[in-house]
Amino acid sequence: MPAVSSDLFDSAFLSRLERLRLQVRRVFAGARRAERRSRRTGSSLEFADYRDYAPGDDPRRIDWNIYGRIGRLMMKLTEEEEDLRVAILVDCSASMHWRPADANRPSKFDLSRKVAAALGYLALHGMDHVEMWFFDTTLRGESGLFRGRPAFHQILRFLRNAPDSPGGTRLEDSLERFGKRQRRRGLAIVASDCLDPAGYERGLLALAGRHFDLHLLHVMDPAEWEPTERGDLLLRDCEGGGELAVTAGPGLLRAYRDEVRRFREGLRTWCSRHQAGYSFISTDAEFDDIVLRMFRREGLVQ
Amino acid sequence: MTFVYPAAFFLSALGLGIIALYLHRQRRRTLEVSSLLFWQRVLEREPHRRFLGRLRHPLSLLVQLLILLALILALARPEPSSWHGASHTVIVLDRRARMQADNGRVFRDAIKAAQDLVAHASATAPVAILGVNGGPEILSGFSGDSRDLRARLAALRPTDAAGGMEETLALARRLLNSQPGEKRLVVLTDRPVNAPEAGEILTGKSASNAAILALAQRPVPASPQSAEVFVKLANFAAEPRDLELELALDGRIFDLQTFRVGPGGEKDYTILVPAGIQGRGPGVLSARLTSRDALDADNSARAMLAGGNPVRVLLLGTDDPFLESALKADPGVQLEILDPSQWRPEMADGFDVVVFDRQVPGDLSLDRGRFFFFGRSPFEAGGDAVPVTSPEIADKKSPLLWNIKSIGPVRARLLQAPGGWRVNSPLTSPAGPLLLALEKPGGPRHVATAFGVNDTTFPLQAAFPLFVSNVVRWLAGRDAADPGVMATGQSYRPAAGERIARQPRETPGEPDDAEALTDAPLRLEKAGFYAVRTPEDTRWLAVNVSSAEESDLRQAQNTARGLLTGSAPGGLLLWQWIALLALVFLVAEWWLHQRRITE
Repeated sequence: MPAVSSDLFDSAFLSRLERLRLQVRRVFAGARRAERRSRRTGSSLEFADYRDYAPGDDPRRIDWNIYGRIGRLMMKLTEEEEDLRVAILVDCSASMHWRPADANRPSKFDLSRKVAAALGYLALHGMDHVEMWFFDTTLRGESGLFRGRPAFHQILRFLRNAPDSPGGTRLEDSLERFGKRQRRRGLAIVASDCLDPAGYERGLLALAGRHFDLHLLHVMDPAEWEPTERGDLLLRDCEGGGELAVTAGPGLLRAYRDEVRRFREGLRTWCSRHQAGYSFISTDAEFDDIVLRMFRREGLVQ
Repeated sequence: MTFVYPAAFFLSALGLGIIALYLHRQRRRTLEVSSLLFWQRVLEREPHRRFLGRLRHPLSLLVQLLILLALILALARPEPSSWHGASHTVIVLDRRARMQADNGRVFRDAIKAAQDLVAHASATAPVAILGVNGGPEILSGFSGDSRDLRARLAALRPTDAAGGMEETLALARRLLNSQPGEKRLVVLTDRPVNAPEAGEILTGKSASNAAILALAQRPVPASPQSAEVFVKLANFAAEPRDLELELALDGRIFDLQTFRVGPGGEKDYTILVPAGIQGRGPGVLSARLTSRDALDADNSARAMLAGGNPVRVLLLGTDDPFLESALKADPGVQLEILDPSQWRPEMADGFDVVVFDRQVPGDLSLDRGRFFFFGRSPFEAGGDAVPVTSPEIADKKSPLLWNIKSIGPVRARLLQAPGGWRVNSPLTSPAGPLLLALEKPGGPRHVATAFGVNDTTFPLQAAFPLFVSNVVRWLAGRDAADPGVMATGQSYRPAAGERIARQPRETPGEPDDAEALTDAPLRLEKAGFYAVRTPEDTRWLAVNVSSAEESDLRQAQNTARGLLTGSAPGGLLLWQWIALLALVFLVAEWWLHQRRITE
């Protein structure tokens, strides 16, 4: 399994990365002061609201201008800037390791790890809490919580030591288990090919339904939506899902491409309907383009 | 339905091989994919694709078997007799000299048209090919084997022959009349023919042409060793032309003339070839028109001069100035004189003629040599000499007495013809023969006179040297009826003991033992020199085109008419349709298998 190398993140890339920050659709309560808005009002300069003065309030927060105009003591509320909990879940099933024998491009898993590392760096730079998980049929590995840029090397080490997983994908079990374990909500980024024979809906719903700000990174290899092999084939599922004899001709390949297109459209629609983010990542795409352009376009970073 | 090559059905065994290969199906190529999810959904959504995928192989097998069946049927050449009915075609192909025109293009086009015709030959539509080559020739009897017919046609070449086509057309009609069913006569030539019922394919092209229509020579009566050469030129053109004629003897040009000949006109030209320029070769006379035109074959002609090599004569006798002078006067004679006492029989082998002047050696063998007995001979009847006042010329056509009217009175020792010889007595008297010409078929010749130089005044006459020359030339075989010049297309009938070479030579030369000879009548197809051999010697027969019909190309045309549309060239035969069907099956199989439209 290729390791995730910190060489990938050279200083120029990191400097460009530092100009970005993770964007969430929802506002979550943090645990520590940080650079991200929270639901709490606090001492920052960001105005949030007014409320009537109550005994015990800090008189320094009374807005005397309002008192001068309407004769009532009003408390000026400002937002509390707190940290964000960012969970990045990387699918490590056998299908994520698959790639065509003659392809000179990274596997879906390798690319997902690199993207996860980049997003982790972004979160650490924003003083957010970051945790990472591997999953296939269940949760495989947990990195623990990291905060602060020095923890980036720990993230890399975790990603580099990904577990071997010859098994399949069960999004429902894995993500349900993750959701139940999280008492504090936050941004949940799932990198997966979503090739779960049982379907992806229940698994993703386990996060979206628990008020996580879900963003799906749908990773696919070009050979998966545009197969080139023709003739009499015995297709063997790399996740042990059996074999299927087909004769790959123009008609069948056309129908296959339509099926993949429908699958991708279905995923995008599902995410949109559930206020989840969706990014489609092809393994032949440039890594810089994915992180610096596509994520910005998709609203994952700003 | 009949099959030309039913043996092709043995190829049906190949079907077993195809079935065996089908049963030994190819293993599918295993391919690992990330997921079967999408493939399964496709097959669930479109279940017909799974069904067609299973059907593809049997369908391929069926198509492959159909391809094999179609190929076997095509090879077996089915002939559906009920479709067209039997038909017979006779192709009359002109091979005469005129077909060489335009550098052979006329004949090549005719062959191509004939091959197109025979391509449609079949068992029920056989084709026969007749050639026009001075006379009719059967190039192929009725045959349905188009490949064989085409091969025969491809081997044909035009000849130099002249002659008419009527005999060939008559033969073609007889051939067709002997056959049932539909009949067709197709003539391939260069100009229209008088055969209304025939289809014509004319491949000629009207062109201007000049020709040598005649080349002949004859000895000059007053000087037999000289020759008079006659040439006839013709200009078959619409405008006058300057014709340059080149005459050569043994390859050496001795005359070059230019004649202006009007359109369609002829020019006769005569020239004397003096005896002085003869004797340096076999006497090959050739005439040539130097300018090129539409037909090359008639631009040259050839002949043999009667003179030729000098006659080697041995005179045994030293005291007869008349005889010696007469022999020396003949420039065609190479004379040697020997004292009779030095005679030996083997000397006869080194000379064409041995002349015994008033004496007969005792050791003489009549079977060895050719002898002229002048004055005394072994054929004397005996008795004293008798006066003959008026000898009678009994055979005026005898070559011995050519141009001799009389010899005057003689005192003769009468002669008696021996047995076992063919004897001619052209000069006789009431008392008996005065001159004997003895000859054995294919054997020696001898001449004997009943008088000597002292027995007559004949040696004093101007005719005496002519008589001596006649005798010497007859003995040497130079008298022989000169075959002269014959025209291509004519047949030469060899005389008894004669054989003629089947192929001509450009120039006469040494006899070739490997040369193919025949004693049967031979049609002279090509111009040139044909060797005519006898056991004793070889003569040369000159053959020229010499035909105004062949040389006049102004009437040539390039067109076709009268071909029967019912069985005309064009359209495909049944076996070709089946072969086409096999091709369609092959494309379908390729489409099914390679493009996999049925997966």
